[in-house]
Amino acid sequence: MSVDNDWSELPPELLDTIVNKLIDLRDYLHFRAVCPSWRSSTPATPKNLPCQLPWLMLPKNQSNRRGFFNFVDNKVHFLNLPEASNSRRRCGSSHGWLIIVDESPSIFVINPLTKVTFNLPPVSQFPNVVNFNFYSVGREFTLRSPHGEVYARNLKEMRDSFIRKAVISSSPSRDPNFITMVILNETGELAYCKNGEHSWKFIDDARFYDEDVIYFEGLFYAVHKSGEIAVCDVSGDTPSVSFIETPKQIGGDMQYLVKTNDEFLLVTRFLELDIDAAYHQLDVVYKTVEFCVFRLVLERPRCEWEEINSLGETMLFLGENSSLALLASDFPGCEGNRIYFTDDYCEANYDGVDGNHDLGYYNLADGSIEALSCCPRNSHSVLRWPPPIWFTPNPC
Amino acid sequence: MSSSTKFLTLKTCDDKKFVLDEAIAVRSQTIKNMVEDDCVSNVIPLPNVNSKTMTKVIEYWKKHSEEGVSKDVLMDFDKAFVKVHHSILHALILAANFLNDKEILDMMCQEVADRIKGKTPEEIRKEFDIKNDFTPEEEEEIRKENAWAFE
Repeated sequence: MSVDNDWSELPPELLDTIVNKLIDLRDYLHFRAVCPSWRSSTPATPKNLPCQLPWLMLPKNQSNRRGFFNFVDNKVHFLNLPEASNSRRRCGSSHGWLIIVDESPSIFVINPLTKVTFNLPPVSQFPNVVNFNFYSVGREFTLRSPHGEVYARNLKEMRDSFIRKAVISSSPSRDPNFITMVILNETGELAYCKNGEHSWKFIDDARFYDEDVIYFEGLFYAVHKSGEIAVCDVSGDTPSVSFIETPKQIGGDMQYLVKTNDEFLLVTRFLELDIDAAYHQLDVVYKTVEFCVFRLVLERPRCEWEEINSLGETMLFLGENSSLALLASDFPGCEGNRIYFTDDYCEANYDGVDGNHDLGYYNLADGSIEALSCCPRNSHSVLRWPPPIWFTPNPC
Repeated sequence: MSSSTKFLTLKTCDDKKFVLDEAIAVRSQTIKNMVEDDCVSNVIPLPNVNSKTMTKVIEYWKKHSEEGVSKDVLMDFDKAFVKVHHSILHALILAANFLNDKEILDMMCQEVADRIKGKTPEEIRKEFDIKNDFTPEEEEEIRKENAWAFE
């Protein structure tokens, strides 16, 4: 053995073993900045990093820089992101990618860390859009409702309220066959497209399964207000849908579907109207007051949502992002049994809405709601449009 | 001790000899292969390991070969075992790699990773006595690439 114990001379395969044990992206980047030999022996893009703790993407400030809040160390990281400028709206966040709708009316996905983007078919390429004419100012889009009525929408309306939520199946940098699924706001349709396709397709059998949609092991799971799930297989030429039937869930204002390590959860969110007195005017706003969590008991043919009163080590991240469950024990400084939420109901998505956002975390143990230090509740800060969204930084 | 117990003699690079129960020594895949290939004469030379490091390795092997030791005791032992100066950590990683003992290697690499976690590059260099060989320009470039991580 050499008496010399120079860490910079450690063989690459051993450095590789060490670096594979780093789970935080920042640690990985710091490792590569220690010395030239450590840098050259590790790839610029980490191979096996697990899902990172989400940052809260903050509303736009003056420049093109966007703040991302880390709630564990209370730090705000800044990324240059002109792609998410004010004329655009993000309508989803999956695997570290943002799905962005433009007034132009293009739709694209972007990784804010790498700036890699993939174009998706534009808003004009949905089956219910019968015409798009850029010169019909104020009524650029002509749409047909499921009942056959024809109506007009302008660019901004389409940008802000046509798509409610978009999720992607996997990171586009890793998977060229990624699929995007969107929930349409007004008609409750589910539409999807595979990377490279030029138009969106509806899943006719899954209409109104529009509360939330997640992707898990090759399938999209879309949940109805009643708690029933439509399992959509869109791998073939035409979509095939099967259903997980459950007794109706009554009550609550919004439903989220979450996949944990071992089960599906249905999370019901309760909102309350609140009078918000600010700037010498009264606003009526919604505020989250409670969450209820149910686990799916799979006893076919009849399945059941069974209420649970603890999430244990699990933390949930809900909002416009792809609903996410992580284990607090994987992240130093985190506590389980909490639901971190942002507002994703559409009223707040519109430009020009004043006031504070409905976000924070809910303790399932005692039903209390706590604010995040970047966004105190009831404070009329500079935080405005668009509402913050959970985003898991991912370098690939 | 049963009469079937076989002993091996290991010789480190500084000419120290360690006599060890073969059943324990074969925790090293390298030694195990040598035993199985029957290419073991009286003494197994370990040209890459010094006696100080080998003492630590044998200490680990013996503890983990003892019978009736509870999991908690082993966990406490492991915890204390990795709390060593970085030069010993370094030597143990190279030794475990040469001896092909995945268990020790894995534990030691985990310890290195744990010492890196949450530290800035400068703090990591200090922890492991690593010289900063980057030019100021290179360093600036690295920081700029992922500025958020270095704020």
